[in-house]
Amino acid sequence: MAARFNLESLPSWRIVAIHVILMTAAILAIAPFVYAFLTSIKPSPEILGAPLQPITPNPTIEHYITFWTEHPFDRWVLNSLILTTGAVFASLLLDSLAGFALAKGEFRGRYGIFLLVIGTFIIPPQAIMVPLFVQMGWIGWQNTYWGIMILIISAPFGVFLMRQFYLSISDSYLEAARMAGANTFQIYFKIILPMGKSALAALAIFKFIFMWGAFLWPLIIVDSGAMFPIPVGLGLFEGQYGDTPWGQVLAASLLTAAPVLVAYILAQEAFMKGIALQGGVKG
Amino acid sequence: MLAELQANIKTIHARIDDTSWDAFTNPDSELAWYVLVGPKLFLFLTIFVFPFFFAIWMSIHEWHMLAAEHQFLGLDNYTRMLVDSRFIDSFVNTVIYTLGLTLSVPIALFLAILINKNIRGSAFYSAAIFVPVVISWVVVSLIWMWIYNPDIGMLNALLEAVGLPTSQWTRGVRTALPSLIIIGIWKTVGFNLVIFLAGLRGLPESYYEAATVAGANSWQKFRYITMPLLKPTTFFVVLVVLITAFREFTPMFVITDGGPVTATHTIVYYFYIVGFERGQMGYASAMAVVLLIVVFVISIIQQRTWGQDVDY
Amino acid sequence: MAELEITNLRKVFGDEDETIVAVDDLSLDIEDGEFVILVGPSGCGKSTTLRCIAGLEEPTSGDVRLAGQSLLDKRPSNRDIAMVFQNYALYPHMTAFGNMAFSLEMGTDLPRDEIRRRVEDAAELLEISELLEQRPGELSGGQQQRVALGRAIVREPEVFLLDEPLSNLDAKLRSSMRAELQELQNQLGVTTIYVTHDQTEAMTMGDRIAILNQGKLQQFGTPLECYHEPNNQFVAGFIGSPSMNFLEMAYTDGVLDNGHVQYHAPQSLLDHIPPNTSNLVVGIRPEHIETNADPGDQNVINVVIEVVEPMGDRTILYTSIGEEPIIISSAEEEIIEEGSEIPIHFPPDKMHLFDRTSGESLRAYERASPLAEVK
Ligand SMILES: Nc1ncnc2c1ncn2[C@@H]1O[C@H](COP(=O)(O)OP(=O)(O)O)[C@@H](O)[C@H]1O
Ligand SMILES: [Mg+2]
Repeated sequence: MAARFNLESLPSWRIVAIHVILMTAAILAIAPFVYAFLTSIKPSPEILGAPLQPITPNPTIEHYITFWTEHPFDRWVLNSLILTTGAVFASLLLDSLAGFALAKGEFRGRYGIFLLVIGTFIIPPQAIMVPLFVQMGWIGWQNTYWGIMILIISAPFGVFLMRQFYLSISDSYLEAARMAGANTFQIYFKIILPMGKSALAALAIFKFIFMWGAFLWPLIIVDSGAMFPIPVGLGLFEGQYGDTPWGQVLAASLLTAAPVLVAYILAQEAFMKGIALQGGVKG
Repeated sequence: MLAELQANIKTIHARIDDTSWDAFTNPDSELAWYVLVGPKLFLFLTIFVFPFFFAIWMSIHEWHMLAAEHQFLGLDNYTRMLVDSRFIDSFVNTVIYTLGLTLSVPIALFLAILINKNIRGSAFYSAAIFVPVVISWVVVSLIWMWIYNPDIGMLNALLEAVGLPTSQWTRGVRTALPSLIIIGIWKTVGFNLVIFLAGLRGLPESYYEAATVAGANSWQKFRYITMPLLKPTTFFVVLVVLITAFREFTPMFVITDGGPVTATHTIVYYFYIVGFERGQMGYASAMAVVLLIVVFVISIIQQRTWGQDVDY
Repeated sequence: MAELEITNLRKVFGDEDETIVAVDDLSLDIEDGEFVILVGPSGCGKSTTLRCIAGLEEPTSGDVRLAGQSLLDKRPSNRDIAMVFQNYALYPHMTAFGNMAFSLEMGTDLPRDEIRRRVEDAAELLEISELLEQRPGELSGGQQQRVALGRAIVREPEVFLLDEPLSNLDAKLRSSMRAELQELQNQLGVTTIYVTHDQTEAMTMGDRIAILNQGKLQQFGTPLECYHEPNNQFVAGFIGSPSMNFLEMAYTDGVLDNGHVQYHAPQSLLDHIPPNTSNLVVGIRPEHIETNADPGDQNVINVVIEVVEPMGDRTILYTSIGEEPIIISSAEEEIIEEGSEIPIHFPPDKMHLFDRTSGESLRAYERASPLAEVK
């Protein structure tokens, strides 16, 4: 049962106070993005001269156009799309397979492998980036899509999430399938995969956000501008100029944030569910 | 005795029949499960476990990015850290940054409790506060860089407009790190909030009803029901904040480039400079090992002090 | 044909440190087409027994044979057994049709139209033909129950296993489904093992009931046998509602005594008391206690009625003899006031005698009585 508090017992001035506090927090959270957008459509002189004026009388998309035409932004977008698609699908497949085995399988070493999942959770990815960089060199994966994606695909997070979810599926579903004559793979494809759609959606969104925003590892493993995912392109672009073209920086930032924002607005439920699952928070 | 023996023989027979089934169609076959975990296990071993040991190996060698030979150094890379003032600055800054970010925990708890009172618009408030979490660090860094800009940024403009003193923000030696901490808190609150909300919604309502009947006021309910019951959730949130904050890199790289001077050097920032700009991979690996140990110790301490009754 | 023999079935869970004996040396011979109820308190090993038969659990020892052939080395899907799970285990992403067809698609190579025909036949039998295109989420509990049954029926198995199939339904639906299930089983004539902890289901549904406690078989017989001739104190207390009353009594020279009442046992009872018995337990069902005895007669006990619960057709009276609470279920129409004293009588032919230490029924011991025939 959810712990909800009785509205009737709150005096109205307290309700007003709560609204004021929460509204302030919400505005603080969103205002930078809104303000960045309003600024990105101002002509350059206004950006420099009148930072506080919220709405420009002369809205323009010049910064968006300049940025797009003067930089290989479309190439970066393409790279990021390839990377996120690849990372999301590979993760969904591998994590749901492994999560299923760890939640429902009976085999020697299951507990040991689960401990390994927990153990790799504790290893900060940054701590293994130097040797991993060298390893990628051995197999020729430096400056490749595989090399960029591999760290996100290998992360233990998804296995943990999927295992947690599959644990909540009653064994009797699998037993019924077993009695029907399904083998382990048929059970995975016909029962486990379709029954886990909501968790898979949550995982897909997480992996999408991780890959879309990944910065340090791509920065390390990529050495040519043609392979830049958007964050690397953006992060390095700003440093190229003594005099930052703020209109373009903000325009590019918002372009980058837009797909994530859209995904978030469309799939809020899945998000929250995934986070709650991740927390292992009971309830 | 005899019955037991017969039974054993029977189960052995059953086993033999068992293995004679095709391993992929026999639902009890262990092999099928190994095939399922196999790929992920392989990645764990090659992408996390092997590099983990490889990092330790590199950290006791002189390992330049371009060199073919790697001379054994023993613990030299580690002792070097102790006398490297840039590393010490980085370490201290990282600790301050991490502690600073824990401020997001009480803020998030406070907001979560308000949202959980379930007044109209709760869903909107939590969704809005969560937005900074999903936006990538690079975008967040660039937008805040503009907000903090001392000359044309809106923050100083705002302060000026209301007659308050302005600041150099990310460009001042004393103000740079606190400025980044503010961004960090701003970006983290939403995540903590959602976890706290999930925790709060899992608390049994009957406890509160019983307390209300017993005449407890809201503070007492918070102190004696919410806080103890939320302990596992709080444990998790603090752990995640500490661990992620301790390895922050992007805002330091994008906004301040570790500066002014070393004011916003963090361990991972300096690690990147040493390992990938200078190519001193042995020394960088030693830093990585330190990072690893610290993160590990945080997890252990957390487990010990807070987490006794937290089960996974 | 398809008689099911369970011999010395034993299932032990756990490792060396801690073992749980879930099923302990269970033997049952079930005839072809028989409806057997497996009943017992929660945790007594009913589900484990079913799962061993189904092949979902490997027995520690013992054998399960169907039509003379051991099932143990066969996979679950090859045992010709269908099972209905307590939570139905209907796949939420498949329609009712998909759920029912699933096992035929997985486990057989029947052609599509044969599968369709079988599913439609089963649906007709269960009166769910219009629901075939709906998903479990859109069905009521009772309808889901029928789909789950249909899923078992389409396989045309030799044996049905049902694990507490009605426990998720509300009381009213449960009683109508009880009758329907019985009729269905009659119609199909498939050997059925039905697990329940509900003793109404146990008494009304099956040909025979097997009563389990702590993994051990207590009695296997028809419902009336178990009711009238319980093997031991556990069965006596488990079957019947309200439960049988028990009184610990000392026995000397034809007199039963518990310090508060004395009971002069007639010959019919004495026949069942072995020599040298000094202590035993007397059992009497609430519905067998007579409340209209003559106060002056021998063996009549005067008790004060503490609580009266009128149920309509009968009245439940709560009283006590010494410390022991006694429940009486009286069919008398006369109204009895709380606090009043009434004379009650235990008819000797309705009394059950049990060994004080083992709890075994003393009816197994017979000196003369030709009536006491125990399996
Ligand atoms: N997989 C298992 N591992 C360990 N113990 C089990 C397992 N399944 C059942 N048990 C134990 O075996 C006993 C019998 O369980 P079960 O057959 O489910 O009882 P019932 O169905 O009669 O309620 C219980 O004590 C239960 O805890
Ligand atoms: Mg059970």
